[in-house]
Amino acid sequence: MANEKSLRVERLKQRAKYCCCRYCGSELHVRQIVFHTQAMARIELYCDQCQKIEYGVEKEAYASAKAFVEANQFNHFPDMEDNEQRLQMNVAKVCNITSWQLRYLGLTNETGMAVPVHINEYAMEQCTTVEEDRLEQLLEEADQWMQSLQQED
Amino acid sequence: MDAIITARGLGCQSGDRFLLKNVNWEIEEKSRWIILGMNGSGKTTLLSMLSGYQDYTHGELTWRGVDYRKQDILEIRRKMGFISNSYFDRIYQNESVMDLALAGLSGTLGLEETCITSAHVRKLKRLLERVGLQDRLDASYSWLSKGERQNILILRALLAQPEVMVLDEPMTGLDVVMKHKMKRFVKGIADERRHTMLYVTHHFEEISPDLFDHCLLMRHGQVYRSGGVEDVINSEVISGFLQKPVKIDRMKDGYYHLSFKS
Repeated sequence: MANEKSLRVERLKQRAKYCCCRYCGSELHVRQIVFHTQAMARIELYCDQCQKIEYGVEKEAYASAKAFVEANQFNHFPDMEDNEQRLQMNVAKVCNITSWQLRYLGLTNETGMAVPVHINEYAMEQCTTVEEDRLEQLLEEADQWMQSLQQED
Repeated sequence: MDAIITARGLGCQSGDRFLLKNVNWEIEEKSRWIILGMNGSGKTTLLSMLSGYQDYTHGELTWRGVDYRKQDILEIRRKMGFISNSYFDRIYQNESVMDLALAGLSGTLGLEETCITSAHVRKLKRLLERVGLQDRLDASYSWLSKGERQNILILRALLAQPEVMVLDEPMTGLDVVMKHKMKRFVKGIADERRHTMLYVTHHFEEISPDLFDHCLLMRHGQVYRSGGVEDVINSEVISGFLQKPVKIDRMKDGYYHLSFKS
C-alpha cells in the first residue's frame, strides 16, 4: 500500500517534468486537490493557467500538435466561435490523437519519449537564428545540391 | 446478509466544528437506503467519506470488515459509484467530459491513461450516445447544464462497474423531463438488485418503499433515526424529525407525499 501510494505520486512528479498542458502548453504542477490522509487519493496534476486537473502530454507532442493545428487550420469544432479557446481545444484534440499513436507505437513510456526526438524546426515553422558558420555550411550544401541537379541534366 | 460498509463512531471535524459526529451505520450488501436530512445535515460529507473522496477524523470505517485506511482508497472509489453534483461541482470546472468520465476508471480525479483501454473509450461513447450527449465529449464540465452534469457523473460511475451506487440528490435542479428519466433510471437500478444503493434526497416524493428498503434520517451531522423505510417514514417519526406536525401519505404511484398540518 505504502509503495503503491508513493509510486503514483512519484509518477505524477515525473510526469510533471516531461509533460505540459494539452490545451495551453503550460507547465503542470503536482497539487493537492482534496483533503485525505492517503496521498494517492488527493494528489493530481494541475494546470494553473487553465485552472484544471490536467493529465498532460509530452512536450514534444504538444509542439507538434500546435504546429499541425496552426499550419493546417485544423478545426474539429466547427460550431464554436473562432477564438483562443477553440484553438486550444483543437490542439488538445490533436494532442490526444498524437499521444495515442505515440503510445501505440511504443514511442512513449512512463518516462516520456522512449526514443530520441529530433524536432525539425523548419517543418515546425519556427523562426531560427542561423549563426555565420552554419549559414556558410547551408550555402555550401545549397551549392552542392545545385551542382548535383546540373549534373543530372 | 454481510455488511459491505460499517461506520462506528464516525466523525469529521473541521476546526472546532463537527460536520459529522458519532455516526453508526451498517450497510448490508444489496440493500437500498434512502438518506434524508435538511440542508447542512452532513449527508454529502458522509457519502463522500463512504465513497473514499473525503477523510474522517473520528471513529472507524470499514469495507467488508477492513479499515478504509488500510486499503487502496482508489479501489474503494471504483467500487463506489459516487454521483454527486454538489461534491464534484466543487472540484470539476474546466475539465473535459471525456477526462472526468474516464478518470472514474482509476478512481482518481484526473485521467490515468494506464488503466484506460480502447474498449473503455468505445463504451463511454456508446453511453454518451444513449443519453444524447455524444457531442459533449470535449466540452468542459462547467458548460453543461445541471441535467447533463448529472448524466455525465452517472456515466463516470457506471464505467467503473461499481458495487454500490451512491446518488446524492440526483433530482435537484432537473426539469420535469429529466426528473422523469432519472426516476426511471433509479427504478431500473433498484429493480435490478445488483447494486447496493444509497440515495440522498430532501423530497419525500422521490421515495417509495417499493424502491428502498431502509432509511437513515440525519440531523445536525448526526443520525436521528435509522431502520426499515416504513418504520421510519411515517407521520409520527417525521413530525419529530422536522419538529413540525406533518402527515405522510402514499400516492397512487407508490411514492410518499408529505403535507404540513396547519
